[in-house]
Amino acid sequence: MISEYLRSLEGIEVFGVAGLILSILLFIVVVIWAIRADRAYIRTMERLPLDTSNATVEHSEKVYS
Amino acid sequence: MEIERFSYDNRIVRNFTIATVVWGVVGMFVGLLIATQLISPILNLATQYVTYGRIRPLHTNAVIFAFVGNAMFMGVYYSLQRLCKARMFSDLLSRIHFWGWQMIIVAAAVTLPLGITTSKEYAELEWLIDIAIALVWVVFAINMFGTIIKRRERHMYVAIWFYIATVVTVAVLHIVNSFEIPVTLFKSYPLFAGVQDALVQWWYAHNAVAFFLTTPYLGLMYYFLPKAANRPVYSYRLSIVHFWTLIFIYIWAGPHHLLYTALPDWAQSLGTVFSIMLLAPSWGGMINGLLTLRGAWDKVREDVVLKFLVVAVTAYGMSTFEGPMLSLKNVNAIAHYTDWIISHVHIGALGWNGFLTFGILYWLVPRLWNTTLYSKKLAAAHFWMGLLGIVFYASAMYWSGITQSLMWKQFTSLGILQYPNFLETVLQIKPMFHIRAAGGAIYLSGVILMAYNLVRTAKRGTFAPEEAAEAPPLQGEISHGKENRHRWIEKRPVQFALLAVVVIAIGGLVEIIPTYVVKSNIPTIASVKPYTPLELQGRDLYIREGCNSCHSQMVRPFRSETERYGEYSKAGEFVYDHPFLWGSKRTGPDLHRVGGKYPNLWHYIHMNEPASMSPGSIMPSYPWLLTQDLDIAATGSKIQTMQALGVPYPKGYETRAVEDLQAQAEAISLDLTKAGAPAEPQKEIIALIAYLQRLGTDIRVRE
Repeated sequence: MISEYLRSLEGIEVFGVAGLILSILLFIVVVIWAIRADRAYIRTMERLPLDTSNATVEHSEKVYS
Repeated sequence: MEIERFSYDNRIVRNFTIATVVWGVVGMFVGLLIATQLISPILNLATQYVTYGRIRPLHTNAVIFAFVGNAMFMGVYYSLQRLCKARMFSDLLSRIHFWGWQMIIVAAAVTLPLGITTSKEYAELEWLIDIAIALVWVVFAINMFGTIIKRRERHMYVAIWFYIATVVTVAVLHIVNSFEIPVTLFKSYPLFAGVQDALVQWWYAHNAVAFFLTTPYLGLMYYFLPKAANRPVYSYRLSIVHFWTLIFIYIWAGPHHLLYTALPDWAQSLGTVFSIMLLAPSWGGMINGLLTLRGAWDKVREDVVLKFLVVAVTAYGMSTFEGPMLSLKNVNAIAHYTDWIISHVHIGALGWNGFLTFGILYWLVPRLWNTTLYSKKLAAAHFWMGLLGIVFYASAMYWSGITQSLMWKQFTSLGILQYPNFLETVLQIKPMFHIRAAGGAIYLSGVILMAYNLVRTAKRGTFAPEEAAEAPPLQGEISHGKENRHRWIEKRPVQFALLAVVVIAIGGLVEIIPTYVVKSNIPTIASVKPYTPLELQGRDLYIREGCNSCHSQMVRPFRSETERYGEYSKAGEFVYDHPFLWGSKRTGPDLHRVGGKYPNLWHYIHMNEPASMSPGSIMPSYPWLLTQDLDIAATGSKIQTMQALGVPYPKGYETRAVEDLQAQAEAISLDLTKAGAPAEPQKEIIALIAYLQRLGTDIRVRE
């Protein structure tokens, strides 16, 4: 009602559909990345903020594993 | 392997810590002041420099850019050094960043009360300050990427990804939304007008929420929550998905701020769909944060830091659930322009940003000063005061928002508005304003308690500006054979940043380009003409006084609105509006169709003392408009700037503009004098009346 003049724009709906497809693709790709990431790598990464001197890592591994 | 010795720069972290607390108190105090002004207009203190319209932007800017901004830098400077096992790239850049940012805040605190503003929400600062912001941001970016590049830790932890996304996206947003042409040192007009300006502005403002209030804080959450709980994040895999989907989807959702406006329908729908999708990554992040504490909830009972962090993450979850719901058109129709939105943003600001900041402060300050917290009891008291403050604040505003909206829309059985006088709906919700102010006061008292606690903590300890650390340097690339692609990218900060830019640019471009390209498709309504010089000057006074803080200029196509205000607003009516002034909140009524509704005399008396025309009105008085002379020096250059922006004034009009201005002013002055209010033509009030009487009249059929 408010913007009928823009509805007549050719192919404007392509933008919306393209956006949806793009985001679904991105989601799938990212999920595959995340799942395929190997366990050792994930383990290193998630411990980065904690004290990462070897002694502490071993210690916290004992505590949390 | 050789071990390198170095030290972390704690001085810069301390500076940002102090700034966070100081500006937090200031920003929240201004918030409390404007909350009380809505209860009693006397608290506008009869001076133009602290009227509601001018200092509401001061409150939002102070809380967002001064309090949250400094807190973000505090957290980034602390965590980035440790995650990279490297000192900040350059101490000099750190200092320039710190002092530059504080200067910008001071500049904002001076210019906004003076009425120097662009009127665009969360981007009110004028062009000179915009340039300063861009420069300081570049300094921050260089310092951050420099640190990441010289890091001793091969992998970039997920917090750093959020920091990178923040730095690059805020830069893009700030620059695009600041396309403006200076008129004088303290005045500029934006490149875009009307619908385009609105779209760019809300693309900016929405993503300022995303990339200034959310992504950096998610980075802080991913660092400080595991730190405080001393256990790794619940799922690192989830954080990868969280990051990429969040930054991709967020950008698209901006148009949900413009539902039912004159914005093209397809853009509105796009905003709605992506807002709903946004729920997934947001809640992914919240769940990741909360589940980090699985099996450790007993710690939450004892540790005040964890208490704050848990409430912060929960508030994030509530706020990001509410956001998508508010993006549904049927919900938005009720909530928009009301206090509901005020409640929504304060769940985010007080709960998510506030509590996360407080949690980090209670964790960080004892560590920076090598001591323990002065008083756990005071901290616990602060926690409960904060929580109570939020509950008071939010429940009052939800109640008030829904009440007022229902009253706006209520028809009698005869089909006429039950509450045709807008003021009735304001007086109905005034008790809620009291509760809101009380909630704010409790929250602020908690913060002051925290400030005291932190100062005492610092006093009992000793600050160590340098914290020694050691780590082996990064060796050359070690191949692990087949490498996961994400591991490839997260080792390369520059490529990572570029990829992040690409991801956020897609949404922004899809949103903005079509609307810009179809500029010619917005039907120029033949009767819509540029503002006369006097009206243009009046419009700038409207901007200076921040009228758009409380009054919208956008009649939505609802019967309840067309009955109350008149014909709904059309996109073509705003083509000469640099900037657009649609507003986002109706503390007072919409003004788009106010032109010709009242005689000049009504406006004259009303601006001098609103309560004299509308008993009980909470609008501030503007007596200075009646006594101050209009500054017409810049009239010519204003016209020239408008011409440069494509507004079709005749060639050479800038030289005749002042004559026209004076003629129109004489006419209004004469009319007022006849009506019994002798007003000199050179006063500001004349220009403002000219503008108000013009508003929304272009498409009126003249008899």
